[in-house]
Order: sequence, then C-alpha cells, then structure tokens
Amino acid sequence: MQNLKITVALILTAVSLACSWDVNSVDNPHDIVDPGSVETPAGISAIYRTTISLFSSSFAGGSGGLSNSFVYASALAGDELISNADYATSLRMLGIGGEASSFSIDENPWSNIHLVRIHLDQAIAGAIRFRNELPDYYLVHMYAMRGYLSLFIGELYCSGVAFNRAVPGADIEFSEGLSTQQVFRKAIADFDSALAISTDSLRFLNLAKMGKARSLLNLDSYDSAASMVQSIPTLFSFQIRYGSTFNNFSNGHPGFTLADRLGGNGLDYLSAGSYLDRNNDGIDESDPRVRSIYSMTTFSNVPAKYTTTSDPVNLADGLEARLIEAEALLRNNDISGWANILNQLRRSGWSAPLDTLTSDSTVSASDTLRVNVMFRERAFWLYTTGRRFGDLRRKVRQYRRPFETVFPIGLHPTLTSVQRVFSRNANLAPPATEVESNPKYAGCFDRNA
Amino acid sequence: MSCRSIPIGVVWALSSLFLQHNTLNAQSTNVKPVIDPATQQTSAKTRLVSLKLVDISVESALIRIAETAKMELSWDRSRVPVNAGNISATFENKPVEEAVKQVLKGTQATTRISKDGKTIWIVPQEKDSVKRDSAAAKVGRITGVIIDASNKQPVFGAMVSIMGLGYSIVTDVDGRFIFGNVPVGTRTVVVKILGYAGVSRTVEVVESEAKEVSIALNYVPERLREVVTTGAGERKRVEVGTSVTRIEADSLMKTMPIISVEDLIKSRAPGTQVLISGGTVGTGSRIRIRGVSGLLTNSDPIVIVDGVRIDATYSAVAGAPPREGIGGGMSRNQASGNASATSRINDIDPETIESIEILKGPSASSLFGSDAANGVIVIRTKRGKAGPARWSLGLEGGLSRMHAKFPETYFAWGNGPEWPTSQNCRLDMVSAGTCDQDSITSYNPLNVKESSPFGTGRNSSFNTQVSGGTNQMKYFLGFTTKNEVGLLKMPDTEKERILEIRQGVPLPSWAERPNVNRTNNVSANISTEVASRLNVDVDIRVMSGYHRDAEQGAVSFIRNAMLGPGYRDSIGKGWGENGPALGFLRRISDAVRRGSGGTNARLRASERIFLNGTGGVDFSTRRDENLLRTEDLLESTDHNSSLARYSGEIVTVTSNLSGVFEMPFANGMTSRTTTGMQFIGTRNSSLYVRVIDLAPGRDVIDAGTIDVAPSETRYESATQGWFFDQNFMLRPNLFVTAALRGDVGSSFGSESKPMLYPKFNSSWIISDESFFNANTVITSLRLRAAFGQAGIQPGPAARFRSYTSNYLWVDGSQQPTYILSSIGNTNVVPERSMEFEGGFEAGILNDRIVLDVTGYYKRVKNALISRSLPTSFGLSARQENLGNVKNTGREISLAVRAVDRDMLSWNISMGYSSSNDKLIKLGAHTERLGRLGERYVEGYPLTGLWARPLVSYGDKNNDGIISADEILMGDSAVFLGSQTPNAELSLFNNMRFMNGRILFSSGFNYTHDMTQTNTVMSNQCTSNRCAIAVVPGTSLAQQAVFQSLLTTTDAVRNAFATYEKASWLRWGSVSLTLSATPEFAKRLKSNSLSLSLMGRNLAVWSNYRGPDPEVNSSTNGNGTVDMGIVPQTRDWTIRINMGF
Repeated sequence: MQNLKITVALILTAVSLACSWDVNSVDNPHDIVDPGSVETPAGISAIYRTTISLFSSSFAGGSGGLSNSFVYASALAGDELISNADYATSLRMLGIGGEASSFSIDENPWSNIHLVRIHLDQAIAGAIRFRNELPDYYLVHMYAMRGYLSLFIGELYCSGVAFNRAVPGADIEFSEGLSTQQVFRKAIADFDSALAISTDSLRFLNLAKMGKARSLLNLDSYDSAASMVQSIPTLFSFQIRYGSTFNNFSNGHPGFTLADRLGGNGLDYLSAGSYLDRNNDGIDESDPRVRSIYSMTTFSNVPAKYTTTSDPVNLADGLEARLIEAEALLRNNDISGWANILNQLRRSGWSAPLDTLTSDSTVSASDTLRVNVMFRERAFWLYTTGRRFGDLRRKVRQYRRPFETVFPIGLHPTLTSVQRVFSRNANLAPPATEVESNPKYAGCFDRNA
Repeated sequence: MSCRSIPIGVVWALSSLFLQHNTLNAQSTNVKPVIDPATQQTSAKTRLVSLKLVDISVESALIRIAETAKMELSWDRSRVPVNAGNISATFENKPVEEAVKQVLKGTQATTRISKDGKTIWIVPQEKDSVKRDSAAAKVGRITGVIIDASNKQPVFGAMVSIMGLGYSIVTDVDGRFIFGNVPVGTRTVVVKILGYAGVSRTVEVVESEAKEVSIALNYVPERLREVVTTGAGERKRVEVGTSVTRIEADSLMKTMPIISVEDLIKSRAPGTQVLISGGTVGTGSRIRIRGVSGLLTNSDPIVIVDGVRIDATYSAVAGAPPREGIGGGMSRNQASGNASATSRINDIDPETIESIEILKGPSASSLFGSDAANGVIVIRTKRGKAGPARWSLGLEGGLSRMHAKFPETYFAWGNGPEWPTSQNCRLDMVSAGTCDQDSITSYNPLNVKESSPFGTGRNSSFNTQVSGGTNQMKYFLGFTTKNEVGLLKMPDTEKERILEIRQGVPLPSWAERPNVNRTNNVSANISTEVASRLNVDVDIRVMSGYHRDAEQGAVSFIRNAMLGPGYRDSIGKGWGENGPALGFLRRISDAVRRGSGGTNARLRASERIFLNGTGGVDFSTRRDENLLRTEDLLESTDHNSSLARYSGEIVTVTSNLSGVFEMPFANGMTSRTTTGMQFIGTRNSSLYVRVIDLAPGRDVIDAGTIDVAPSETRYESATQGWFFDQNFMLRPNLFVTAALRGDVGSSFGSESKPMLYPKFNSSWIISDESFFNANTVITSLRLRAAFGQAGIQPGPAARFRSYTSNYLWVDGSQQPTYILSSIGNTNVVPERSMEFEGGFEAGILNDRIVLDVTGYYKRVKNALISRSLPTSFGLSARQENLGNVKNTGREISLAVRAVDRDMLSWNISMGYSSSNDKLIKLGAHTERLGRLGERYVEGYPLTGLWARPLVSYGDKNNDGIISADEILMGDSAVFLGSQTPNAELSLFNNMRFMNGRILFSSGFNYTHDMTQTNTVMSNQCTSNRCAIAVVPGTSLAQQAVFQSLLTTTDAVRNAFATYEKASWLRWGSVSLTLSATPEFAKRLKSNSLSLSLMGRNLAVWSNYRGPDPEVNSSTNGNGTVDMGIVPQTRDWTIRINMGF
C-alpha cells in the first residue's frame, strides 16, 4: 500500500510540474516583426517602402544583382545586350527556347517580380483599410506598381503564367495559368484602380496612365493607348532610383556588351553608337542614344547610358507617350503625323538635336519599312529600359511579322559553348519550380508571341 | 479540467506526506550498510543484536538488522525472495546470523558467512526438485567450486545446471555449489554467468558418492553487463530491448588515427552514416542514423554530453558577396565565397571521451521526446578514479598528402571553314563536318607539381590528463591543444604570377597556407559523495577554436582546374577563370569559444527511491569572417574588396529531474518505476553584416560601404516533457518495459495539446532458460524487441507569417522596411515517427564469436518537409506536413576472437547495415517538393534523383562518334538512384602480439550504391573539356552519356549525365602500436609507455569518375553534391602515450 502511495505521489508530482510549467511563453523570434504590428498604418507604410525598394530591384537591378531584374532579362532575351559573363549566362538566357528552365538566371526575374507582388497585395489591402490615415498617393503608387509587375510578366513570359496568392490569415492559394492577354488585362485593372483614386500627385497618376497605355498597346488598342497618354508631357519621366551600392547598367559594368545586329535581325546598337564621321569633317555623327564605352576590363563595348551604379532608370516617360501616339497614327495611316512626331522627338528629345529622319524612311518608305523605323526609334529612345523584348514580341504578334525576321536567329556570335543556336521561341517560360511545385499549373500553353 | 489547473502545491504536500511516512522505516538497501569500525573484528556468529521489528518487509528487516548490528549483509534481490511478506519479531542480544535466519524463515533463503566473518551473504536454498530426488534410489552428489580463471577467486551467483534433469543452483559466496541427489550416470554440468564464457563439464555420478568438480571461468567482456543510456536513465544493456551501439573511445584514441568525434563514430556503428563534406582540416560532416526517414532539411541526431544537450550544428561559414560579372548567372548563394562547412560536434575533445552510445531510432529514443526521431548520440566523458593522481600524456604529430587523381582537362584543336581558333573541336562536331581535329592537348594544374595547390599538411597535438581522488571525491582534468595545417598551399606558379602583378609585394603569409585548424580544450569534472546517499558530479568543458579555409564549392580552384584551357597558357597558367590565388586570398574563417557543463545529483532517498537531477548549459559563440581585399590581389577590378562578418551565440539549457521507485515482488520479480521531466531551452542569436569597397589595408566593417545592412536574428525555443517508464524484471533473464513521454513545445503555441510518445520493449536471455541446450554451437542468446515513437518539431517560426525589418534603398535613400521572410503555415504539426525493432545477440563457440543482428521498420507520419514553393509566391519554401514514409533496414555486427593466446590474439569486428527508405503516401501533394532532380514520388526513396534516361544510342553513320541525333532520351524523368547508400560494410582487424606489447590494426569500409551528383565533371564536359567530349576512340556508351548532357536548357535531361551511382571500398586506417615493457617504462619514470604509427585513408577503389565519391558540398538536407570540394587526404601520424 505504501509503495502504491509513493508511486502515485511521484506521478502526480511529475505531471503537475509538467502541466504547470508553461514553457510555451518564449518570446517570438526577435528578428521577426510581430505580425500584429504590421497591420497598422505604420506597418503598412513600412511595407509600402519595402515594395518601392523591391520594385526597383525587380525592375533594373538592386542589391540582389542585375540578374534579378526585368530590364536585364528583356535586354538579353532580345537584341540589346550580350552578356560577358561565363558562357552559361548567355546560354541560359537563350534557354528561353526550352521548356521550363531550371536555372536561377531565368528564375530570378520571375521570383523577384512575384515577391514584390505578394508584398503589394498585402500593402494595398492594408492601405485600403487605413485609407483615412495614409496619404492617397500610397494606393495610387502601389496599384501602379502592381500593374507594372503584370506588364513585366506579360511582356517576358509565355501564355500560362501563375499568380499565386498568399493573403495574411489564410492559407496559400495556387493559381492556374493566365494567358498573355489576361495578364495585360489584369495590369489594366490595377492601373484603372490607381486612376480612380483622387490624389494631387500627378506623378503617380501619369505613371499609371503610361502603364495602362503600354498595356493597351500590348492588347492591340493603339487609339486607346494614345488617348491615355495625350495629357502626359514629353518631359515627364518616372525614374526608379538606386542607392550607391546598387547595380544597374552602370558605366563600365563588365557584364555586358552592346549587341550589334545580333542574330542577323538585331539592331545595330554598337555600330550606330560608335564614332562615325561620314563627311570626314571631324564631327561625330554617331547616335548618342546608344553610346558605349570601351572597357579595358572586358575588352568590349559596354553601355554608356548610365554612368554610375546609382543612376536612375526610366520606368515611364513622356518620350514613350509620344512614341505611343506616333504608333497609333501609323496604324491609322497618318504617315505625316507619325513622321512629324518622330522628328519632333529627334529635335527636342535629346540635349543636342539628332538628324531628322529622311523621307526615304518615313513618307516615301514602304509600310514594312515604316514599321521597322517605328520600332527602331522606340528601341533607341528606350534602350535598356525593358521595352525592347516586348516590342519584338508585338512585332510578331500584332504586326504579323514572321519570327525569323524579327528575333535573333542562327548562331550566337561569341559563344563557344555547346549550345550556340538562338531560341526559336519568342518568350520565356516560367522556371521549373513553378511547373513542378504548383499543383494547378500546367506550363506554357502558348509559346507564340 | 486542464492539467495546468492542478494545484501544484497540493500535490507537493501530498507527496511530501507519503515520502515522509516511508522514510521512517526506509533504510539502506541490499548491499552496503555503514560499517562501524569498532565491530570490524567481530564475527557475524558472535555479534549480538537487539531489535524490535513490527510488520515490515523481509528486506526492510534485514536492513534494520544490518544497521543496528553495524554488520554487512548482502543479497541479490533477483535471486532471493526478500519481499515475500511482512514480518514482526523481537531480538534481545541475539547473534546476528540467528536473527537473520529468523527473518528469512519461510523464504527459501538461507545464510552464508564470509571467511572473515564480516559479511553475511543471503543465498537461495537448494531447489525443492533436488530435495525431492533425494528419496530416489541410486543417487550421488555433485559438489564443486566455480572460480575466475584469471585471478582464481570464487565466482558468486553463477548458475549451475545439470542438463536434462532441470536441476539448477546458484553458487554461494565461496563459489561453491552442491547437488545432493543426482541420479547416477553421466551428467553434464553447465555453468553460466553474465560476463564469463559458459562452460559445460561431463561428470560420472556414482551411487552414494560425491563428485567434486572445479570449473574455472574465463572472463569475457560481456556487453550485456554494460550500462547504457536510455531516456529514463542508465540501464544495464541486458534489460534494454533496443540495439545500442557503444564505442569505447578511450582505448581507440590511443591506437587509432582519430582526429574528431565524427572520426570516432564513422564506420563503428552499423546504421550510422558520417557524410564527409571535404578533405581540408576543420571540415565537418553530417551524421545520419538509419538513413533518411524524414524530409526536413535538418535530419541531424541530437547530441547529449554527460546528460546535457549540446549544439551540434553543421553549417557553412558566413558568405561573402557574389562575384557579379564573373560568377555571371550565379545567384547570391551559389557564389558566396564559402569555405567548407564545420560541425560543432567536433568541438568536443575526443581525448576526454570515455564512450559514445548511439541510440538509433524512435524505439530507443522515445523518451528523449521531440527532436529525437533522428536518433540520439550520448557522449560520456572520462571520470576520475579513486587513488593517487594518475597522469597521462599523449603527443601526436603527423603529415597529410593528397592522393586523389584529378581528370585531365582537354582541348581539341581544329580547323574548319568558319572555325574560330578559340573553339574546341568536339567529336560530334567532327562528325558533323564543322571542324577537323588537328591535335588534342590536356593539362590539369592540379596534377602538375609546380602548379598543384596540394602540399604537405601537418598536424600536432598534445594531450595531458590527470585523475585521482578518494572514494568520497574523485576528479578528472584534461587538456588538449591541437594545431592542424591543411595541405593546401599557394602553388609556385600562382605565387609567381601574383607577385608579378603585385610588383614584388609579398603575399600575406596566411594566404600561402590558407587552411588551418587550431583548438584548445580543457575538460574537468569532480564526482563527490556529499552525503552517504547523495552523489554529485560537476562537469565543465571549455573550448576555443580557430578554423580558416580556402574558398571551395561552385567557384573553387578545383572547378577552375577542370575548366582550364587544356594547356598551360601564358596568362592563366592552365586554370579556368581564376587560379587558386583568388580563393586563397579570401580569408574565410570561423572562431569559436565554447563553454558547457552541468551538475548531476543522485540521491538515494530511501531503500527504493532514487532521485536524479541534471542541470546544464551549453554556451557557444562563433565569429565568422569572409574577407577579400583587392590590394591583396591587385589583379582584377572584377572583385570589390569585401568583408562579411557573422557573430552568433547559441545557448542551450538542459534540466532533467527523475525519480526511480523499485519494488520487489515475490518469485524474484521486480518492478522499477521511473518518472521524470525535462526542459530543453535554446536561444539562438546572430548578427550579420557585409561591406564592400574596403579602404586599403583595413579589415573592419566601418572601413567599407554597407552592402548588406546589419541583420540580427534572435529566437528562442523550448520543449518541456515528462515521462513515465515502467520496467518489470519478470525473471532474472526476462525484462519488459512500457513507457510514455509527453511533450509540449514552444513551436505550437500555448493552446496546443501535448504530444505523446509511447514505448515498449522487452529483452529475454533465452539461453538462460533450462530448456535451452547450451551444449551446442550457440552458447548464449538474447532476443529483444522494441517499439517506440518519437517526433520532430517544426521550426520555431514555422507557424507564423513573419517579417524581418531592414533598412533598404527606397528612392535613393535607406529607409526602414518590413520584408516578408516566411509565409507561415498555421496547420503545421510535429512529425511523428514510430519504429519496430527486433533482433538478437548470440554468443557462438563459447562466445568466441558474438553476433548481433537487428532489423527495424520505421514509419513516419506527417513527415515535415521544407516544401519548395513555386517562386510565384516570392519565397522559396515553407514547412509543411506530408504523407507517410517507410524506412527499413538491417544492422549486423560480428565480433570474432579468432586467436586468443598470450603471444597472439586476433580480433576481427565487422559491421554491416542496409537501409531503404520509401515514400509510402504523399498526401495531397502531387508536385515536386525538393530541389532540382530530387523528387518525392510514392513508392520511391526520399532522396531519389530523377532524370530523363538515355534510352538507347547507336552509331548510325558508323564514324565511331555519337552525335546528338544518335541518342534517344526518354520522354519523362525516371528514378536513377538514392543519395543514401543501399548498404555499408566495415571491417576492423586487431592483432596483438607478445602479450599485447605489439598491436596491429586496420580498418576498411565499403559503401554500396550511393548516387552522387558529380557537378564538377558535368561542368567540365559541358564546356567540352572532358575526355569523352573530344578524344577519339572514347567508348560509344560514354559518348552517348555525354550527348545527353548537352541540351542544357532541359535540366532534367542534363541531370542524367550528372548523377553517378557510386560504390567504393576504402582502406580507412592502419596502425601499429608498440608498448614498452614495465621495466623499460620505469626507466623513463613512467608506468606505461607506447608508441603508435597510424595511417588514415590509405586507398580507395571506386567506380566514381570524380576524385572522391564521398565528399559532399551540400550543407543542408540529405543531398549529395560534389562541387569543387577538396578530396580526403592520406594522413600519417605518430603518437606517444605515457602514463605516470
């Protein structure tokens, strides 16, 4: 009996000690922000700032490096730049021809864009909730940024891209693939949301207008696009600014060489921007929009458009507004109006006026040549700002140009690696992680432009 | 009512009452009461005792007599029924022996008095069966004595049986036994006792005569007598139903080439894998017990030293900035300038370890609770022994060299219509007519002496230990200092090249030998008998270490050697993008300071109650540095000066409290109830910052521009558990145990329910049963079986949607932000493992051969996985539970005493293990969950690698070359192999000559079928630098594999050529130890002296194409990746051991 009592006493003691000792009350990890403090006006403001920073990285580079950015991917997948990095980098960018790529170089733009989007989803919901306590422009700016993210995805990737959701307080939701058209319409919905908000910040409203116009252009709605940018002054620019240690396409960066007639169909950026004296009068007649600098590091011509690592990169500007208007006029067969805008830009869009376009390339030119001139002007004015790859795709999709006449084809000029052949696809495929980790995702369902 | 609402005070009060009541008559238990020196000369027959006993148990009565008479009484509770019922008696000046006999009346026990008369032994009476036979006619007697062959002393408690009659008796304190009425004829007497080889002897019994038999038993180191650790405390191995591997570290350290704790474990515990991560000094390894049964990245076992949980993290040194521009497409993590990883288990000084026990699965580790599902490594450090101070010294010095061969790097020169001179004219290009090969060059700077970065490594260590003390206080103190310089050296050609660039400015001295590892360890403990029933041990260990290594991995010099131009060019000297100088001039180091220790108190509260408490703390700080200064390099503007610093601190607190209550029953049955509780708390904090553009000559953070803003991490976790363990010794050779552990962990929030982990096990020495015929080949046999459950907690923040706060660039200035760091999963629950284990241990041919066989079946439910999220979530992973995993395996160990003579003894030990893991059910997940190539597919191993297979190939145009259009790849990925080996075999051979004066030992291990990811080789081939790409005459099969590699956009196809199924046999160790004669040792004023010559990693035979099939650059998870890692070295060491 005594033994039993002892046993019972020991067990009760141990159990009661165990139950009364609440070890669960450890502090939350100290580096982790209390989720409750995020859902406050101050917390939403902090996430708003986060989205600005992450957006800049996902657009043209940042602390995560160039390889994370949309502009980088657009430039290398198109005809603007050649990567000087190891053969694999260029090779991988050419890997757009494959199925889902598993390489980080393709994965980084994708994941970075979506990382910003996930933050924006939360920040926008929070900003709506605390609308009376936060400036109006927060929402305008964030809607515009989210619209641009959709635009980036639509311009880079194939039909069949996922927009998974991770809403606070709910479990994650996997998304089925959206078509390119659906993605641009998704962008327009966000731009419309931005434009519907009353704010005194014209800068953000113009940003949204430019984004919507660019989306409309991608959807073949030229007049609507032109109408959208009508009020935007040519001198307007919305710049993404960088810190001193950020990497954008700075002068002398060893990673890139200006491409020159890449794959036969590419533009002559390097030649056009190189010293040219047709008249032997000692005056350089090269195109300043695509100037380069010869790097003694890489023994190649690198872009001179940005001179320091912290130089801003234009996300939207009035120059493009005029180019959109010009393209609408061209589509409406108003050739003189079209040529007039292009030449006006050449006269006023650069610090020193450029030569105006001759009639051979405008009014007297064939329809095919006019379209080529239109796209060339866009390519030069908007060099390394992330427009070119989308334009190449538009040329195939909307202007019915054969793929072989638009995209670089044949053998890569510098690669010595096993795979030198340019891709026959006109877009990137989402990375392998999407294909293999999203149960609702079925991959690209349309690899046409 | 919630258990939390039980008023603890009431329970304490109740329990105190019970305890108080019992302590009134609860006295010392059965062996050693306090002896009064004044009675030392008095015999038990003459010593008188006066005492009144009222309704107490026989055992308590004996204790009272012993205490009152101040005489020593001794009995074995398992053999003497001292709890047969309560008695009352009064003694007035009665001789002690008579008083004891009166107490024992009716218990079938009697007394024996030792020769000196000081001790009364209580032993069983002869069996009734023997008495019954006395009535039979034609009987004789067998009497005898059992002695220890080594010291001729009597053996008490040996079981003596007569085969076929069912007679058995236990020897008395004089080793004697008597069978009174044995039927005449030829009889076989069998003697068995734990720790001695069983003996049988034939006796001719003659009517009415007594046959005297004298039998000498040979002592054998009987594993079953060992004390092993369980979650409920220490237990004799004989009563534990699971397989526990015990490694006797003390003896191994003196004679085997062992440099770390991982070295001690490797190949010595079947079922335990030590996955080598590289051959540079200071490099750590990952330990996996019984394969991979879970999917979480951390499948590490927990480590406990002297009862205190310690941090045994395996991790890489903090990263430096990526090589933007040079690394090109590499992500930040890939090109982060990492050295090899280190393992904190190696902070423990192996010289001070007495033994290591490995509890392999949930059936053994249940009572260790959450986190123990991957097994438990229990380390015991050396203790002091009573006596004068005994000193020992160990001096060691050694050399290491590289013996691995590296594949040549090729370049095929060619020409063609539009063929650039820089192009490598590959075989299939020849076939396509694109180029004609002129010639082929080959060169690998690693294989050329003048450019090789492999020199001669050296190591030295000094160890001294002292122990001694009295029975009341024993002490141990040990000190070890170790200095290792790895074999990496700046190659002469590289030195010349850099000196030229530096215009003669010498290189920093540390860059010439970039790999070093230095440690100092002090270990001390005191064991005291604070009071007659209270023992307290205090342990403390202090360690400091510094480890520096060259850059390895994706951008290492090994990879660059493989990607060189194929000849010794004038600029790069035969290297690829970079020679070793860049990696060697990156100062990557970690400095560790560590202190840990604990206090263990053991209180015998009463004759049946034992209390045990342990409190301890493990505290470590680590400071990593990753520095690259351009002025050290002066050769490229592609690299910014950079400095990354990481400071981390981990504190782990352990608190254990347990009570044991033993209760004997009639018929020799004993119950032991153990209950206790445990608290494990961990606090982990770290600070990381990285700057670039350092000012020349500076290596401090404020001399640069912030590249990665300081980020501080701090988190805590706590697990509180309680357990209840009930053990029954049903008979002296049959044990059963049932136990339950409950855990509450901080990961689940305050509202979560406790996780319960049950456990059952049994152990049966079947060879001690009378029906067991010992006169066969098998002389002893124990059967055992166990079942248990254990768990793994999710990470401390797995449930939360969490954010980190950082200063980020926002519109050109740095501003405070919140970044999402984890999406979180509110549904995550702990992983639960359950395991069945069964096996036997057999002594064969008088235990000359000991065979231990174990089979296990483990099933994991709600397996935790770091699930790869599609990157459209922005984040790459989160913890989730998925389906069920099955893990089966076999472990066999065999110890053979082949020769056992004074002049020669030869022992062979072999270990074999096989492990198969399989994903049984994937739950709702159908998508890829792991990293590239790793797929979790129902019916296949967890660590399976998958790729599109090479279905067929054929040389259609008969040109001896396989082109891309001459291979056929499968449409979808198929399983290619598991990253954990199917089977492992180890063999150790020990030969002692001349009474042990000369010891020779050697060890081999064989690993079968492990799929390795040979990244370096695949990189070499994809850049057309490997032989099969360019050398005519290469086999068509190899060419076909090479062609499968070329479609680089299709990584799944590409992987086929990257994965290699490797098997290897390694001659791991050899040693020769010469022990001096005592006379010679005394000349040097020492008690013992030995000299050992030891070799390590002497040869390897493998079908693997890379330099070393075992190295692994994967620092997380269970994968195997060979990416530019230094292979294991061949080491030779001389060691001198002296004892004073």
